[in-house]
Amino acid sequence: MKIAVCVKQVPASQDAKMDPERGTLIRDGAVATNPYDLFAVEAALRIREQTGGEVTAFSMGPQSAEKTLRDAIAMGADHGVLISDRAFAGADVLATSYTLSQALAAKGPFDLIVFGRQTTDGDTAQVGPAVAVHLGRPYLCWIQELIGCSEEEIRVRCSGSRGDLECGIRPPCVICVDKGIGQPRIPALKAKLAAKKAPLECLSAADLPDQDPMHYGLEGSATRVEKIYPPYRGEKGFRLQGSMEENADRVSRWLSLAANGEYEGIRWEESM
Amino acid sequence: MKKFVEAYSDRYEEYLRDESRYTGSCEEISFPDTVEAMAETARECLKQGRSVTVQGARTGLCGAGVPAGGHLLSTEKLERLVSVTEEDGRTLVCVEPGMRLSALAAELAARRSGAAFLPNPTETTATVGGAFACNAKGPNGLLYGSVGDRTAEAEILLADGTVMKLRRGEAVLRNGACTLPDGRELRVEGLPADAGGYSGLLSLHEGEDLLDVFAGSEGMLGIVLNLTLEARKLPSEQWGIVFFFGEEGDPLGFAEAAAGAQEEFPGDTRLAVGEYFHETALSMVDSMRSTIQGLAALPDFPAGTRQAVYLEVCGESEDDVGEALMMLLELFTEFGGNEDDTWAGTGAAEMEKFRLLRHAAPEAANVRVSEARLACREITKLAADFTAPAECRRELVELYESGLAGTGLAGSIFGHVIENRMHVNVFAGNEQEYRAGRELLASWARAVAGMGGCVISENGVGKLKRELLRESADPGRLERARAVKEFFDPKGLLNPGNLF
Ligand SMILES: Cc1cc2nc3c(=O)[nH]c(=O)nc-3n(C[C@H](O)[C@H](O)[C@H](O)COP(=O)(O)OP(=O)(O)OC[C@H]3O[C@@H](n4cnc5c(N)ncnc54)[C@H](O)[C@@H]3O)c2cc1C
Ligand SMILES: Cc1cc2nc3c(=O)[nH]c(=O)nc-3n(C[C@H](O)[C@H](O)[C@H](O)COP(=O)(O)OP(=O)(O)OC[C@H]3O[C@@H](n4cnc5c(N)ncnc54)[C@H](O)[C@@H]3O)c2cc1C
Repeated sequence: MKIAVCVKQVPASQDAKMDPERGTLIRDGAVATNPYDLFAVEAALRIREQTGGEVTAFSMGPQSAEKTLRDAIAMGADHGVLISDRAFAGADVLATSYTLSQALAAKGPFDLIVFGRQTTDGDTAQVGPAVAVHLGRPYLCWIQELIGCSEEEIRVRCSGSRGDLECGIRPPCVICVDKGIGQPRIPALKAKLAAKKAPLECLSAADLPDQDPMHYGLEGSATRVEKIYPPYRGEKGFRLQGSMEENADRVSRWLSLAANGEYEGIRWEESM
Repeated sequence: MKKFVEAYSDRYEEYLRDESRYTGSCEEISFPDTVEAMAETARECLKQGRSVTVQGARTGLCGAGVPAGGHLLSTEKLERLVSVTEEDGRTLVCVEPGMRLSALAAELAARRSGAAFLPNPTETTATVGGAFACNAKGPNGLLYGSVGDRTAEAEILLADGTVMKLRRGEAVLRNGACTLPDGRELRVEGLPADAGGYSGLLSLHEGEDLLDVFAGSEGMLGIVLNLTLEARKLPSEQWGIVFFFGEEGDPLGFAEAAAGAQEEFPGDTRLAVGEYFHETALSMVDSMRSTIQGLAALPDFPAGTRQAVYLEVCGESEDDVGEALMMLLELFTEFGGNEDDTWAGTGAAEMEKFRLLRHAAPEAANVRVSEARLACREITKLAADFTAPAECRRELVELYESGLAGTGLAGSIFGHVIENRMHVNVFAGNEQEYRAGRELLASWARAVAGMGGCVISENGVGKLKRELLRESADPGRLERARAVKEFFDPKGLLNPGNLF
């Protein structure tokens, strides 16, 4: 089976800074492979163990994303492809997934394309399904377990809001795996050293089938960022100290204020 | 000032013990929130002849911070970073004594200068004051030394109420004497030439910096008000490798060969960490994957794994480090390892997993002691960190193995294999086993002393290992320690019950 796995390099710490003008991440600190993507690589390798074939890792990003491809190769991927060009800068989910799908088409076709659940920087969990749509492939998300894999069918357990679903999907297809599939392997020393020197392929805009620059980077992005602000972290919880009736009164008053848009937070002394 | 001091009540029960599970008592307790208030509170007690036990985060493993009556002074509210200065290519960080090692690491990382406080005694919730007072030293002590080694200056409140500023290099024991910053002269008779593997009061020797006598003195000579620590840039290449051995392999032989091979590493490449996991420790860690935070994120050990050696290798050149790693890999197969049975990582984030694995070894032992205490309150941690001479590496492990087998007690053996500073824990399930465990430790101590080793290393003496020390240490070291204690604290008011 010809398997592709998509891996992204993300800021290593969660306190990444944003550029308020451009609405993009400022990427100047330490970087690491998106932790969810290690599970994607693990899934791809486990499937290869059952079906045979080859695993190719793809990453779209700056030159430094090479390290992420080498991590995948150290774990056991056979090849790495870096998709990198100034023309791709400023891509939103639409443009990112389109660029990835073009690269996958250029190097494909692949029987199976594996994605992580989400990234820890963009966090949208949209890229996998969006690539599937661009390529016209069926897809399954939130996969928690690989039950059995063959050339004909990948059987999985997915988690859903109302319970788990056991189902099969027929290649060629796309899957987005979650952490339940099993702990990612840690590379052996020899493999890790060899990966540092492994040859990588680099694709630029000129190597992709679609040559329309309006489909890539900022130009190809449908999203315009209006405002950037830190997420609301919620207030510190506290225990209501009054009698049952008093407490019920307070809560209903706060709720009606909130319903009228007049709620401005609870003062500490009110809770006493 | 009184507002910081309260009479002891049951709500402070947890402050009466540390990670060793040894339990003490106190009459009053204080949580000053400024260094001035801490000094004032302590002075008040000392003036009235009340003893003071200073306490950090209570992660100590021998009851050193557990009060033996009197006043318990907690540094938990003194966790500020005072200043960061650059001096001769060094970054000097002045901190209050209650700052946690984790907070110090985060503060330095946030500055993004690449400088870090390198000694890593693995328990990152420990305070810098506690780590200094125990002269804590982690697996990377091999390269970066102990907390004391990386301390440039300390401000210390002495038992007479005065504050002494000790700067490295300014008060050194020469010909049995040194002049203190206040002009007094400290004289110690019969100083040996070296520390004999000990820390603090027990390490007293010719040429020793007084700062190093205070580091590791378990709070018995003075109360640390603040510390100036030296941060350094981490090497650009850092690798961590776990080498797993099956039944056939010889991990101790491998570790010894790795230590020897270090001399032939190209350029400035060095071993920073060399840790051994005996099968008793590895199987225990494995069985606690779901109990110990973070462990569940590790994949299964390679099939057939019995023991392991964890090495960290660092240097400035990628090629040199790569070459050293290939040398180690060759040695690994020579000593019965299988090339694929290794885990390798580079950089802090990847190595964190391996450090967690190493830290899980003592943590799993502590969990086991806590569980045993539910059935029998008498039980405390039964552990030792004996250092034996390098040529006795195998002999030391065999001593532990045969002792455990002979008594039928369970144990856990792991530790700093290159320095031959090995930790051993003995687990008791009832009173009788507890007594047998104590006897076993005492017999090991005698054997280690016989090998010419040191019976107290990184975890200190505190209250739990006094007997062990008395039975096996050189009486001269104890005598000199007592004399220096008397010089600084003639009434014995600081941390009574430790050491003697
Ligand atoms: C207006 C705008 C401008 C932006 N500009 C930039 C920019 O200049 N540079 C920048 O880096 N980001 C930029 N972003 C963020 C970027 O669009 C998203 O990070 C990207 O679309 C991926 O989405 P995500 O991170 O939410 O991935 P998710 O959908 O959460 O990821 C799911 C999975 O998709 C795969 N995947 C995701 N991204 C990649 C990738 N790049 N390569 C390989 N596999 C991948 C992984 O398997 C991952 O687990 C911008 C966003 C917006 C809205
Ligand atoms: C799982 C685990 C692993 C560990 N691993 C290691 C290891 O690898 N290496 C190692 O060295 N240790 C290790 N330790 C032991 C422990 O973390 C250290 O001894 C630690 O440095 C103690 O710091 P603390 O803040 O908890 O001090 P406490 O336990 O509260 O006190 C320890 C001593 O410091 C004194 N003290 C505290 N503050 C001051 C002050 N301001 N002035 C004067 N004296 C003071 C106390 O009086 C006491 O004597 C480990 C502990 C655990 C639980």
